[in-house]
Amino acid sequence: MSTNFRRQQTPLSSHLSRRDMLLTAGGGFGALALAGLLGENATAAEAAPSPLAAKLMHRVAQARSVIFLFMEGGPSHLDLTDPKPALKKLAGKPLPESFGRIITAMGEFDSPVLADQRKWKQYGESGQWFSDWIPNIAEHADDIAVVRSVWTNGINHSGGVCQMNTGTQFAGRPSLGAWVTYGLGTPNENLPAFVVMQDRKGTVVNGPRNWGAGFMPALYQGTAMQVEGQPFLNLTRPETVNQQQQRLTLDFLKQVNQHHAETRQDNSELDARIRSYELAYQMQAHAPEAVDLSQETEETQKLYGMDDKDTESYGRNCLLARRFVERGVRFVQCYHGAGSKWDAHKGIEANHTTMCRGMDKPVAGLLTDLKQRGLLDQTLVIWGGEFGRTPMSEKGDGRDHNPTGFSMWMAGGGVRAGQTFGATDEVGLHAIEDRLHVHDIHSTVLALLGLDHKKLVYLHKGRMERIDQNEGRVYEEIMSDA
Amino acid sequence: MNKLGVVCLTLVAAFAVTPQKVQAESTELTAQQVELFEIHVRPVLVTHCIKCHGDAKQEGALRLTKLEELLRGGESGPAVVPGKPEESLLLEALRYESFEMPPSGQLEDKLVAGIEAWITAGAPWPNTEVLRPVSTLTEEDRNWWCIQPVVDAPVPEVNDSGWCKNEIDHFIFKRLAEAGLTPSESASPRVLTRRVHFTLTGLPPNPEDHAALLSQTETGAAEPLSAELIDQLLNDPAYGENQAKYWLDLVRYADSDGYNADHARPDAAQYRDYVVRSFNQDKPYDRFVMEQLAGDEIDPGNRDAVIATMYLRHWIYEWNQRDVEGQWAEILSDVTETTTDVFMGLSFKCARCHDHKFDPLLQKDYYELLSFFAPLHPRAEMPLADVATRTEHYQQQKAWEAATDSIRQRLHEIEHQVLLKHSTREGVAKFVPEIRAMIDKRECDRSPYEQQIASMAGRQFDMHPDKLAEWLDEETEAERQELLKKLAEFDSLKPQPLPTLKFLASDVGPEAPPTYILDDSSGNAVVPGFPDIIDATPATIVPPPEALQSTGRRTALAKWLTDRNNPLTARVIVNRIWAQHFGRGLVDTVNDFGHLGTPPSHPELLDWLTTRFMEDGWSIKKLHRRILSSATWQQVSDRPLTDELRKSDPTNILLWRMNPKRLSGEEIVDAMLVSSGELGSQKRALYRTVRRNTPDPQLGLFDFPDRIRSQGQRHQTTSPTQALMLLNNDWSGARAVSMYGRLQSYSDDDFIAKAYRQLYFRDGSDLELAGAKEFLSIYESATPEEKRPSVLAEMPNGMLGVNLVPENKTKIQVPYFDELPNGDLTIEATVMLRSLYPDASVRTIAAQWNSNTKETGWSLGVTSTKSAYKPMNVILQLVGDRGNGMPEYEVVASDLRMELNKPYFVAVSVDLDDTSESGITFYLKDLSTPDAEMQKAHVKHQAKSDIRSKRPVDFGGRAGSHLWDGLIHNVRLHNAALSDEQLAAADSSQLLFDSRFVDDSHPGHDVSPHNHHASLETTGTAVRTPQQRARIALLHALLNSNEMIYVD
Repeated sequence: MSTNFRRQQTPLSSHLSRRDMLLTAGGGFGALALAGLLGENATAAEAAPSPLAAKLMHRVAQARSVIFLFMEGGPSHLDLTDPKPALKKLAGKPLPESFGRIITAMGEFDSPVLADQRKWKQYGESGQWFSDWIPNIAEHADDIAVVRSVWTNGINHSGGVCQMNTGTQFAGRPSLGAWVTYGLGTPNENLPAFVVMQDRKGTVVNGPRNWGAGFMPALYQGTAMQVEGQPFLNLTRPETVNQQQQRLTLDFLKQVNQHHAETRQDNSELDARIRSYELAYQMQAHAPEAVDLSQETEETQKLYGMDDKDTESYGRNCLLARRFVERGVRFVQCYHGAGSKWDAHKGIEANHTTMCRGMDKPVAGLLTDLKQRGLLDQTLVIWGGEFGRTPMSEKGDGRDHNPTGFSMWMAGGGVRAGQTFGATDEVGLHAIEDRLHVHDIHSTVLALLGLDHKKLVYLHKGRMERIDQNEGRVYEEIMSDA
Repeated sequence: MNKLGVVCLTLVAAFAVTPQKVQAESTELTAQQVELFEIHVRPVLVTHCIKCHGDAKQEGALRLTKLEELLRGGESGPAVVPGKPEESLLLEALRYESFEMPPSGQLEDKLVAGIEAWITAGAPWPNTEVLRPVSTLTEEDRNWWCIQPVVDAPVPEVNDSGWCKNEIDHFIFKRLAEAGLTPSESASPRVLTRRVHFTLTGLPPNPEDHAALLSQTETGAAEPLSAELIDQLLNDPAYGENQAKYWLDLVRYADSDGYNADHARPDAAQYRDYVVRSFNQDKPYDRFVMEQLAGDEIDPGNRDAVIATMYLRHWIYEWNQRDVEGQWAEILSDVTETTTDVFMGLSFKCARCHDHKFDPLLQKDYYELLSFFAPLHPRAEMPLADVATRTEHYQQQKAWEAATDSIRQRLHEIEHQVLLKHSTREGVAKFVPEIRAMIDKRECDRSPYEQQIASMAGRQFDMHPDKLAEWLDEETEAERQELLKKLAEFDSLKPQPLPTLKFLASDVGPEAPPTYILDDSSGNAVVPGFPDIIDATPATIVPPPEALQSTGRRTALAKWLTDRNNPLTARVIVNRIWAQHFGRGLVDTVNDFGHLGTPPSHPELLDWLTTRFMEDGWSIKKLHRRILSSATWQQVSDRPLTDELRKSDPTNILLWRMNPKRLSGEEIVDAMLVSSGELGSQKRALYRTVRRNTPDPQLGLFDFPDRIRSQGQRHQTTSPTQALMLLNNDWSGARAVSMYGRLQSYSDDDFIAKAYRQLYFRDGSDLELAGAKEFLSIYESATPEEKRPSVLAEMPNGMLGVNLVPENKTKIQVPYFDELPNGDLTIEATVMLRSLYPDASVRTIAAQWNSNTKETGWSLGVTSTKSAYKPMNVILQLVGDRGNGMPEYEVVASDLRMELNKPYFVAVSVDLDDTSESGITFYLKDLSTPDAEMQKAHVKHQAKSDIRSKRPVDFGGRAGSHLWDGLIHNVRLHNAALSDEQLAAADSSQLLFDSRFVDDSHPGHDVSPHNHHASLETTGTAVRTPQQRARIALLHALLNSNEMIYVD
């Protein structure tokens, strides 16, 4: 019932056709997305298109889909992508006050600095730095753009993960995937437009809020893949119903519904609902096919590390991610370490050795595979966590949360790869050059998908809501067409 | 639209400080210079700059109200260098060359050029002139429709040829006529009956209550919808449940905290039930508002009024948030914004950081409103007592405190730091020093704000005074004991504790902590007040009685809101109720009466209804009645959209027909439960636990809100995932099976006819019935015969029986029917028991009970190992009325023992109103030896009537627990207390069913003529015939159909 766009029309304005509306909506694409919502209204007079139908973009862009590899718990930029020789010099001493005090989750500001124990190397023609914890990803240096200057507000996991997904530490706003789905729809309604995968064990902190639609309709929320059994909830027919029986039931249902709709022809919702049952039927066939990894060659499976128990789990998810984007899924989020498993407050050596090993090969495999299939250009791959980790130690051999400066990287569609962007200070505590807040990251992701974060608006309680809460800017430097 | 200028953005520090010699500028200006300043400078600075660089805020340490300040500049250097535009940062910023100012958008070139000209001319500035913000409320603002007084609009005269039924229709007709349109005819009594049931109770009508209407034998009714039916539904408890649903969305009610831990809020349900109760009582809306905002101040002894203030507790909460002050600020904002959303229909969110861009709402207004809640203090225990009792208690408490102060002071010195040091759970070490200092203080030494923060922090750790003796040195402990002894001497002064309620809030004390405007460095606290555009006078706060230790601020706010002259409160609720019935408010945007919302389609009608509503004592039920009695609401919904209508009013804003309604998620769930006959044994969806981090998998798909922020209107989406849920989810499948259970005994024709009546509240046409029959036959022929391993086994005596193993959770049920005994009854069964529970659970033979000792029912079973009645005892559990008007539980034990692994005939005959020994007779006979005697036992009981529950009869368990392990050959139930002779003769005149487990293809088949067959399901699935499968599939399809969830 919330067809916000309509409300901006004066109540008795002469009726606009959908086409008129699109033409008169100031050419703004946000209006396009909003117009899609017409499908919701019980009294909408004209047959409305599916609100999830693929939509136009604001600007030319290469990326069609997103794969967000979310390292949950906060990977250490100081040990992966942002080498800091100063740490070795300062090791064991407290951090000089000149670096600026910050509040950390565990109050570890005054703890001595912890040097990294990594071997660092420059890779590829671009010569980007990566540590020996991610040797396979490092081989893709020329496909990757590392951003070393991300910052966020959330100092704990709850707020941090929520912010990286929704822009705010507090619940209630739509997630990035929901915004993208709202803005772009999907070319393949036989699969969910926005898919979320968690690891085998563990749940993402705060759960479904991170892929929720917030104040938008439920239509745009992410669909979580089941860890076991059927890929999505309610996808499998009841045991007592075979395909033929279900077809008969659906045919009968359609007949009943069409009969009902005959005398209610103005109610386009009825048609939408009739259609939703056909889509549901299709989804039952398409989703299992999409997740059927037996269709992949042994070589491909190996590429993702599925032949190794350490990498099998994330390898499977990365391979699924490729299959989803191949089939038109708009936004795929692959959590690694769901349940804050990257959270190395102590024993970072052991923790990150395991975490990196489980992730490095699958992610590298994904990049290789996307590239060899010609999909990398149209897929934006994002890697990162909710924050980084402090140069100061915690419990002797761990690191606390660092929201004030950390790394993420992007690859694929429209990204100016082979270059490192931004910088942190000498010890990697604060981002100092080309600082990018989470809002800026979100705005940039939208831009890479051809969406203007200032135009993609959703009217909610008298506010033109944007993903960036009116605070983000696009980091044009990282865009190859900039 | 952007009247109020600058948007507040989080800006990275701008101009850096470089000290600069200030040029004195003392000469008089020429007329030309004055003009330069007044035309080019003052308007730009006042409109676009001084909001963030003025008295209240100095972003980037820059202030632009005086010439010196412009010359001095901010963090980045001088803003203006007179005569040198290219060196003036101000100009650079306005040109968006370095800083981008104002952030809301670049100014027009000619404005920038004006500034440039002024700088070039040496930056002339009138002597000592200081720029001040101008009043930002314009004439246009003051004409905003929703703040105009409610006017009792005259009812228009119309030439309606008798269409109008009440005044509402006159307003509607007039607008239609002006647009050259005519209203629609009345919908049929059948359609209106279904419509009115859903709109008032959220539940479908019961076709059996309207048999005449459905058979169309009822003719000549004067009114298509009777006033009696409307009244009947308004008086139905289901009404309050339905009405509560809308309210709970508004106040973002939930049963959990939100955030990662998402702790449960077991006490929150009291608020939900209060809301249901209030609507059912038709509590005047003004009172309802008063209670929720200030029940603790206005009526502290009234349980409902106090529970109502749980309204102030529904914010999301992260229990271990170290940033205690930040979270508290967030909570106060949330309460403020929710309050404006809910009661005022105005979204104030924008004004938290800056004056509202589109509505004349000021940032100052926001904080003045927030300050009504600033003294808020969450309480785990809130006293419930009237003012007199509270006063007595307060005075005694004060006297005790005064008498013991020095003792307690010393105790605090000894104990407090030690307790904190040893505190557990989160402990206190993780708090920053500022908060730690607040925690360290004695409560009486804390400021109100410190008390709020310290007590919020206190929710994160536990202290253990019982262990102090271990932690203190001997000497100190001795002193402490001495002090405690002294303290105890004053116990006689201490008042008796008052009764309390949990999970509430009141004020921190009679003094409120100060409220400051965000980013305002002036240090001036705001005082409680209302939006200037509505009422610029400061609030009058009347302190409540001292004993309440409260500020009275919330009462002042509530009084202002419920004042008859408040232009918003009544309009907003009237519009909400209208929207509930029409699917669209007279103001479409029910939570936003602002400029981004829509103005009312029928402003006079809104005001007329609002006036009547207040005249009617703010009665919501009367408002419903008025709306539902109108010809407008009773119009047909299927009048086609002609080309003419398409041109003039395609979206039916003028209401030339009724809007069809789609059921909400809760209504779908409830309607399915009604159809399957399970509403009652299962509660309405309203009562499902709302966990913020774990959305209900069904309701969540149907746009159930996240309950994190106030929501005035549900979204309504249609998606394949909804279809998948209704098609494939076990829950919806089970409803089809249960509904099948209710209808199974009918012939195909009757089965289909009953289903149509139940689901669509109409008779199917011949064509539809034929279509359904055809489906049954095609489906049946497409369905393979199901085979399964035998569910039967043989007893030692050769008799067959269903083989029950508790792990399989086999469910055997005879669906509920009205003839089930409510008084006398006899149960007979032939069974074999294989094992006992290791605990005191019961091995159940047959039951019609859910194990709740406060709900009626009966259960026949055998006791287990740890039973108080000794193991293997045949017992009857009864919950019935003993004449006290309420169900009471008892165990009637036979002391007849059933040995394991032997077949038995067991029976109990109950003459319910005979509570003497002869009332209940048990029978038990060992069937393993041909010559065993029939054992008998007479036992007293207490229940006299009402032992039936609205449940199916379970065999081999009761409601899924207390399961039988062994075999059951048959169960017979009689609606009478059989005598020995009748039992022996197998008299069947009162037999209700005789369910036998001897045929693997029809286990539980009723061999009596009554066809009350038992259904059998194991953890796998029930085995059914193709005909049964077809019927279930038919119901499942109809439950999924559009007509089920759309209301004409």
